[in-house]
Amino acid sequence: MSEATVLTVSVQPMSDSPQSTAVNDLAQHAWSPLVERIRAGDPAAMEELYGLFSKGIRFFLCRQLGPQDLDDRVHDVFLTITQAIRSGELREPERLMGYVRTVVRRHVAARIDANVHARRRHTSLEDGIVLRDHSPDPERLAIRSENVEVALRILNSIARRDREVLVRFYLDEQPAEQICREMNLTETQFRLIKSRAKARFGELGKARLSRRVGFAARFR
Amino acid sequence: MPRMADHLTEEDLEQYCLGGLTEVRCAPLEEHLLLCETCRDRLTESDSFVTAMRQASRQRSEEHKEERAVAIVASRPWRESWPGQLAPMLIAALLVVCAAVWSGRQSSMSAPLPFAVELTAVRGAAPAPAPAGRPLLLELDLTGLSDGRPFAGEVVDASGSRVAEFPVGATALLKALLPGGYFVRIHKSSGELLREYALTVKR
Repeated sequence: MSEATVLTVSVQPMSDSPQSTAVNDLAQHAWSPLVERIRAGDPAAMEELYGLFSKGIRFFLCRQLGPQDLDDRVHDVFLTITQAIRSGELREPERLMGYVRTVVRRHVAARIDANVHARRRHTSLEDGIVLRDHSPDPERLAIRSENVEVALRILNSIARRDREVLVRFYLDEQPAEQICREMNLTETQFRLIKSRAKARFGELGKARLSRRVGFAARFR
Repeated sequence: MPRMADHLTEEDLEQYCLGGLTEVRCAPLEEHLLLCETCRDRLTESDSFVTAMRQASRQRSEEHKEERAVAIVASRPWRESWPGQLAPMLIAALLVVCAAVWSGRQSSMSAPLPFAVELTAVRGAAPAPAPAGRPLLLELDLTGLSDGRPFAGEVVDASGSRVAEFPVGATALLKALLPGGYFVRIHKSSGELLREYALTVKR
C-alpha cells in the first residue's frame, strides 16, 4: 500500500477503466480448470493462482495484522491454499474465492491467538510485561497527524449542520436513518454532505502531497 | 450486495470501514477486494478518511466543550457590573469554599471522572496509556471488523486473567484498573477472538 495513494479520493467508481475490464474478466473466470491444474501439480497454475491472489491476500493481512513478517504470512496462506486444493479439501472449485477468503480470515484469527499465547509465556518468564514495538514509523505518524489536521480544517470550515452530520455519523456512529430523521434530511442530502467532505479531504490531501513532492525535488 | 463485475459503492466501502456490514454482505465484498486493486485503493482512501474524520471530530468536540465553558463564564453579566453584585459574589465564594472543604472530606468516597482512552487497531499502534484509579471510557477503533454485531469485549491482565468484561460499542465504560499492562480483546459472540489492543495503566 503506497502512502502516496492514501489521500487521493475517487468518489465515483470507474466503470469503463481497464481495471474494470480486468475485474469483469475475473467475474467470468472459471476456477475449475485452474483448480484441476493445481491438483495435477502444474507449476504454471500455481504461478497463475499466486498472480491473481497475492496482492489481495497481502492487503488483507497487512490491514489486519500490520506489516511485520508480511512475506512469510502471504507464503503461509498460499501453502495452506495449495495444499488444500491438492488434497481435495476444496470440494467446489467454483468457490475458490470464498475459500481463499476463509483461509485468510482463519490465518488472521490464528495469528492473534498465537500472539496472545506467546505473550503469556513471555510474561511468566520475566518480571513485567514484554510488548512488541508496534509504534508506527515517524513518516506514518506524520501522515496520520496531517490527515487529522486536514479533517479538522474541513470540520471548521463547513456549516454547523453539515458538521453535526459528520460528527454524528463518524464519531457517534449513529445510523444514517436516525441522522436523517432527527435532522430532517433526505438520504440524498445526507450523502451529499459526506461526499463533499470526502472530496474536499482528497483535494486538500493532493495539494499537500504535491507541495511535499515539490519540496523534496528542490533538494535532489 | 456487489456483483463481481461491479466495483464496490462508496457506501459499502464506508460501512466496511466502520465495521457495519453483516457477514452476508461482507463475504462478497471481501471476495471482490481480493481481486480488485481499484477497490482496494479506494478502501485504503476510505479508511484514511474515516479514521481522520473520527479523530478530528473527537478533538473538535473536546475543544468545543472547553470553548463553551469559557464562553459561558465570559458572558456572565456580573463581569460587567461586579461592584453592584458584590454580595452575591461573596456568597458564591463562601459556598465554593464550603464545597471545597466538603469535597475534601468526601474525596475518598466520591467517584472520579472517567478517563477517555482511545484504542486504535492493532497495526502500528503503541499501547494506549491510562491513569490508575479512574474509571476508563474505552473508545474502540472497530475499523475492519465486519462480522456483524454484537461483539463481546473483555480486559485481561498480563497473565491473561480476565479482569473485566463489557458489551462492545464505539465506547465502553470500565471500572478503575490497577497499574500494569492489560489487553482489551474483542470477541465474536461465538467466542472467536477478532482483535486485541494493548493498554498500559500508570500510576
